[in-house]
Amino acid sequence: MKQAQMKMGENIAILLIFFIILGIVIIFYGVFTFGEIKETQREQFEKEAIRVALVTTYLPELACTDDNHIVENCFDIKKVLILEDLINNNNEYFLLYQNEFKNSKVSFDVIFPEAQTNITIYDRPPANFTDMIPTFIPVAIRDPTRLFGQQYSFGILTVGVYR
Amino acid sequence: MSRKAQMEMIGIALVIVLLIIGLGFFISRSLEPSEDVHGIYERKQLAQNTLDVLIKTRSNCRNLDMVTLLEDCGKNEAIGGTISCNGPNSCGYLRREINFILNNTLAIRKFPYVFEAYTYDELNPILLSETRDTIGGINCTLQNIDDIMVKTETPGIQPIPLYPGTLNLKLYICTGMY
Repeated sequence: MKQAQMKMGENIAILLIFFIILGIVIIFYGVFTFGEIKETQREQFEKEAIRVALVTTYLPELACTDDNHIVENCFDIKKVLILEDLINNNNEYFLLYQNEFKNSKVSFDVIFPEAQTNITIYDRPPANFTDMIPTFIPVAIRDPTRLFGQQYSFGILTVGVYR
Repeated sequence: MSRKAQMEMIGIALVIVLLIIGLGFFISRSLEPSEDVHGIYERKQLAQNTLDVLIKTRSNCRNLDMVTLLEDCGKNEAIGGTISCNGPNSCGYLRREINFILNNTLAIRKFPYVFEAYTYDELNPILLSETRDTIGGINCTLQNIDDIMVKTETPGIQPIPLYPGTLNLKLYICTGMY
């Protein structure tokens, strides 16, 4: 009887140790997985910021054109001002661009040689946002109404994605 | 110790060894620095785009574009350029305005940078613009980049032919220290 009790006690001790080890492993795995999920979410957010930045950079409706050739990294200021007016004063256009830009802010800053000005063409912050990743892209801002050779200003396109 | 007890001890030791290996694997994976996808994309396009746009930009020196002033400064470096810009000549004007543009685009957005324009000697440039920002206590300067003390993203490069020679523009964005 005493030997059976000892055997039982031994088995209980082994099971206890086993469950303690199992508990530690589960806690550790949970913490690790939670960290991985947060990391994946951050990466997805960063990729979304890059996607919106790329979409904006290659918007054909804003690009400078020379004889039907698109000039890279160049935005026509007249087109930018028209699009700003359309998006901010026409809900239909706002909804159209919402599909592309989602919760983000797209703005141009003219830095040089004119006095610094800001043109925000789209801004849709979510109700409660905690973070924003801005992407800064130096761009040429072209005013086609100026004389040839004097058309380009230095600007910055800022695409911020809200989270 | 009985043979059975010995076997049990070996079993427990094996389980503990396996657990330690497993935990070590998890820890090593979680300690790996995560890739800054957005930062890499942003810094890579930033340096080259800045130079591409800079040379196209119209100046307020006789409405000439920057590339014309850069050519004049590169060809006539010894006298500071031949084009007069309401006071300073082209080199002096470029020094002031490039500093202004880069400070208002890069430095203000916390991108420490080094800009240089040189013809022959990279360490003795005609035009040089540096931020005063430090990275880990080390200044982002041309000398520190050359001494491999500061890490940079791939630089923006823009050569301007001078006939004869070439004026090379380079823009480094500092990312950290070695």
